Amino acid sequence: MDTFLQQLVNGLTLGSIYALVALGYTMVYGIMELINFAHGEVVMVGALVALTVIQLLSGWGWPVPLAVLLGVLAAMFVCMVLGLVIERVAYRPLRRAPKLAPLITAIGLSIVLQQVAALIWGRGYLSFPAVLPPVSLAWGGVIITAIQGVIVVLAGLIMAGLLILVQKTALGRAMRATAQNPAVAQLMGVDTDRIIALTFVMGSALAAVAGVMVVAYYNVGNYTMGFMLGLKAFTAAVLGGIGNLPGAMLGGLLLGVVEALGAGYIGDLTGNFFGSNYKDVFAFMVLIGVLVFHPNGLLGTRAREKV
Amino acid sequence: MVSEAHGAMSPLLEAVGISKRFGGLRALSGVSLRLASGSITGLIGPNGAGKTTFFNVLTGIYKPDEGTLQFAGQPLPAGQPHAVAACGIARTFQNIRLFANMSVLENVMVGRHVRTRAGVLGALFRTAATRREEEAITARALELLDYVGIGAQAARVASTLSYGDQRRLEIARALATDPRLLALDEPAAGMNATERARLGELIRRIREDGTAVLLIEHDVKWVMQLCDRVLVLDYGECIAEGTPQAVQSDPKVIEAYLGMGGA
Repeated sequence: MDTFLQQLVNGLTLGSIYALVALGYTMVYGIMELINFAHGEVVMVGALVALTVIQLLSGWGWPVPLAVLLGVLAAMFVCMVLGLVIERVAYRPLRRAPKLAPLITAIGLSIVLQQVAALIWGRGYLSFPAVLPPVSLAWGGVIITAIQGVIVVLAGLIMAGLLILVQKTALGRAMRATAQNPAVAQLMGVDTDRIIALTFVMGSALAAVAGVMVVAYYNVGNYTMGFMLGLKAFTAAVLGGIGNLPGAMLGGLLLGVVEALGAGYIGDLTGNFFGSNYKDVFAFMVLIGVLVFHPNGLLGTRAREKV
Repeated sequence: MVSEAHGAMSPLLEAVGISKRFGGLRALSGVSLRLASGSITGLIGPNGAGKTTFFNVLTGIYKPDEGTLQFAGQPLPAGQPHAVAACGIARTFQNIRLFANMSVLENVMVGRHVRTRAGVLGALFRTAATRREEEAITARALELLDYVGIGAQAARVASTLSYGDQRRLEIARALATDPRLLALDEPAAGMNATERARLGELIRRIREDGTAVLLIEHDVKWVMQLCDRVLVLDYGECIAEGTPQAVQSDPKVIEAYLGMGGA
């Protein structure tokens, strides 16, 4: 039982991060039916920028909380600019191209971003300085670390804020209108180019926060870290129903939990033939399962409500 | 109508020599149109005459190959629908194009977008100004729904409305942009005689409240009753323009409508 609860906590933490990244995929898909496969690399860039800033500032003896805060803000700023540039340079010229063209561009962009990151930060691992106090809350046999608490709560707040933004504000209304019918939205005075750019910017800001969470949780970052994370988050978005915001949140959390439980029990179930390093298998088994039995995802419908 | 006297002097909309080609097809050749404030103008013609193409040029969906569009004395931004909306031209569609998954009220609220700020920061931080603006948008949207007579349906999902009410909702959404010119693409299509009569009343009321109306319609009798001026297109060219009486008796129009040597 303790293993179960502990893995549930670990899974929810991981799942919160997946959910934040998955939202970036699903928002962009919702508004322009494009899978932005470079999104995982945006997470990586955010993580590495934050690491650099935090290392630098704490090296100068700045107070730790301030260094972390500035690191997060720097990561968000860089990623938002990056998102804007990606949309403008890589996708906008292909708005009317066949669907395959932007997809290939996305993959190419992903490779470019990885290699540029390797040039800037090197191919080694960057470590996250031990900035957060290693406090934890023990509850029965279950340990919840401070960083887990911060990740889950912060992710929850961000997601709630995003839902309110999309459902309750004029900006959100313009986003939903653009998603449903860009031509008509324009005639209502919605500058759809701006809304699309803004969607990329918002998704990239979420990616930056998620990137910082990943390095704070695992204590290391590397130029390849975005690939698997992006793939998992994309899986989460498909699991929840791509284009559907609550779906991405649900899909992310579910995937994190499935993965953590899988990792926790696989050894017992297979007589230690498979170890927890097989945990990635679960994410993609889930993806295959969803695609076979419920191709529209858990909350997706055929007449999908996008964004 | 305050601006009527002024409008008679300088037209609200002046299109001069508008041409639009699609490959080898000349959808519009040199179409000119003057439209006064506070008028109801009908755009009629056989299928494929270029009526909807003219609407698409007017509302910035297409850029004309030739010709100029002046609206209220200013050149209209070509090929930029959101900027055209900001200038004060709104439209509805031949095939209804609502935001089907959004509520009736939200559809109209989107129409207010062009007249509101809707900034990112305001939306993120829910400033007092944003909240006030949102309340004003909601109030105006409800008012417009009552105006077109579907106020009771505000909370429903747009796609669940009856066909006639969907057309009314499109009109309310277009009016939400505070247009000086409302362009209606076959607003009465698929309506029975009673619905048509009620729609005619609504259109007259819109004109009386200060918005000029340009409408495409196939039902010639209905158009002739409703409109002050009528413009007839055939094969992308304007073949007649004038009062309903004058146009009705124009031999070119009769031929275009009834074929060779008709009545």
